[in-house]
Amino acid sequence: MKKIPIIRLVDVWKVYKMGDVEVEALRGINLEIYPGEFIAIQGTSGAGKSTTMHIIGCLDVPTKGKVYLDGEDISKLNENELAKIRGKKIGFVFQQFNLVPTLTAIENVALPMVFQKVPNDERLERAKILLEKVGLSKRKKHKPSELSGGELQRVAIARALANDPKLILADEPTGNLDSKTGKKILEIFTKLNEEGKTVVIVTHDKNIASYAKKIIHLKDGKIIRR
Amino acid sequence: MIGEYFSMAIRNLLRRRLRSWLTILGILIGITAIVSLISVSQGMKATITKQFEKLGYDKVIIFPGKGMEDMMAGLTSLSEHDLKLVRTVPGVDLATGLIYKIGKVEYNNDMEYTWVVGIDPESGKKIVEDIQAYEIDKGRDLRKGDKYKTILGYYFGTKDIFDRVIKPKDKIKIEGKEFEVIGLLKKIGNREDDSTIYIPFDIAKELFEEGDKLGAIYVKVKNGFETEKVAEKIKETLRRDRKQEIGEEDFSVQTTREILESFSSILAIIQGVIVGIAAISLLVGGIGIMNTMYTSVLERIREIGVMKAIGAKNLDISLMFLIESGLLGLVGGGFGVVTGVALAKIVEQAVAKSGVLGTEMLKAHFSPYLIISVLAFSFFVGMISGLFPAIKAAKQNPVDALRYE
Ligand SMILES: Nc1ncnc2c1ncn2[C@@H]1O[C@H](COP(=O)(O)OP(=O)(O)OP(=O)(O)O)[C@@H](O)[C@H]1O
Ligand SMILES: [Mg+2]
Repeated sequence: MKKIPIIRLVDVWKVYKMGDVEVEALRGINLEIYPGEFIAIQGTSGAGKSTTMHIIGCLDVPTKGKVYLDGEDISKLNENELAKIRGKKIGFVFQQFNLVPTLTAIENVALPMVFQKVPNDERLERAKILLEKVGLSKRKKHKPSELSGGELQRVAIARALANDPKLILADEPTGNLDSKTGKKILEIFTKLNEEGKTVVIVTHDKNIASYAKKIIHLKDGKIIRR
Repeated sequence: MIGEYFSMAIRNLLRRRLRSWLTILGILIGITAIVSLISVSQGMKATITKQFEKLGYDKVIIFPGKGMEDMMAGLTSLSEHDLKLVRTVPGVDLATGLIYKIGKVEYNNDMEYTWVVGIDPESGKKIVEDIQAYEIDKGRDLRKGDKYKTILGYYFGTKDIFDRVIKPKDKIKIEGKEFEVIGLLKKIGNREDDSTIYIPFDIAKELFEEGDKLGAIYVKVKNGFETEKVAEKIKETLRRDRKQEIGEEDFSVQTTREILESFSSILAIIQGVIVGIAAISLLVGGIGIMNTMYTSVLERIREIGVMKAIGAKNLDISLMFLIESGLLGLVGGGFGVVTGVALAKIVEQAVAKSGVLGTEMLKAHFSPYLIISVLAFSFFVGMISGLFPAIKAAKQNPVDALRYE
């Protein structure tokens, strides 16, 4: 039986217009991500890694080309339909952690469930479980300003798991961490993948990429090697 | 979910405490103005209406000249002849003439000038009691046949006017003549009425050498007659007697209802102006909210991007910002109601103390309806002011927002 890819990019182009100059961030990307995969997208700065990730994550639509999520073409969907898909099927982890500063750790983890209209009790219960999973049950009531970088990234990972998405996307998740802490974070991703989540990590660092089962090399908006 | 947005909005407002308070202050000032001014003028209206109800809608007052101002200025075109004429008009139950004069009053080597009113104990007492709202406190009222007897306003029974308290049976001099005090009045509630002196009509006539001139004519309309119609008849009768055309009258005839209505319409105009001014200050407050919210949106672009990435729809984002701006308005409104009520109370006290209007004249009136609608309105002003910033927030492209430094 042939598996359907979670995400399929077909000849995806992304062109930014800056006045008269056109920046071709992506130039014909073809890519499939299957359930259970652990992929690293590796490339130098400006290669188009983040842009690729944004398209995979339905945050952005291509200038040209097709994107299929679970076999459905998303390139024609409107903003709210995309938001719904992101909320349910995708979990993001960022380099700068990007937690909401006014919310406590547990509230940050529960926030994606607010947007999916999960009832309050259920939300907090699940957020608690997720924080335990990333080893932060003692920091539930702390604000982001009271947490270390490693702790922040764990909260962010717990948040990415809130609505139990199939796909976890992480853009340079260890970029702001020392190597020891970064290693711990990467171990969490490995564990998540072992538990069945599909994980995509964006990085410029080949040591980090080596944690993944598959590496996609990106250069000047093109995949040069898989 | 809305509950969550409220709690987040409150935290965001607390995060920028000083800025939030300053923004709230802008709304607070406008709401304070609205609440205090409206409740004071509502109170005024309520008291005036009550007073008119007390004196009854069956009274007609004929003033010399165009109205009360001319009477106060001592101009008079009314005479006892007119009084006689008025008494012949069908529907007139009682009619009485009054003399209003500023007179010199001496007591215990001390001297003051004050209003002296000549009233006819026979024909007029009943009407005057209603219209002037006077009630005997100590001693007795004027009677038919009383000559150099006088009734004094409330303040003569205190140390307010003279150094010594005046009691019934004391003697005072009015315009050089000695009078026996036979009664003192209860407090009416305004300075002028409470320092007025009443003497028998005939004596006043003699004392001020008024001839047969009258300061005003008070009329009580018979039961079963329409006051407005009788007033119209009186006007017509006097006009014909003076051979004046409509609009040429040198007197004016007003029913109590008309006087109340003219007070009310003046109050309505004042209220309109006040609300206009308050609306301008609210507009300024609203612009303050808009400014604050635009700043917040700019500061939180990245946060907006993140929220969109984790599944927030445009509506969720705009709702968060709208609730925040609505809360700025609501809190401003809440505090504005408190300071507005306090300010109205202070005005009430100050006016009562100064005695210009009398304690009864100014009881600020706080209707729950006013307070609830002011609160709802201030929340609404906040939301409206936050509308454009909220739309701007919702429209952020998530990718650009995430890249935003
Ligand atoms: N909004 C934009 N407008 C114009 N050009 C853009 C925009 N976003 C990205 N680019 C350009 O697209 C190219 C790819 O950017 P992208 O952020 O995907 O690179 P990256 O591989 O993630 O780099 P880094 O490792 O530095 O994050 C770059 O040349 C960048 O300047
Ligand atoms: Mg990048």
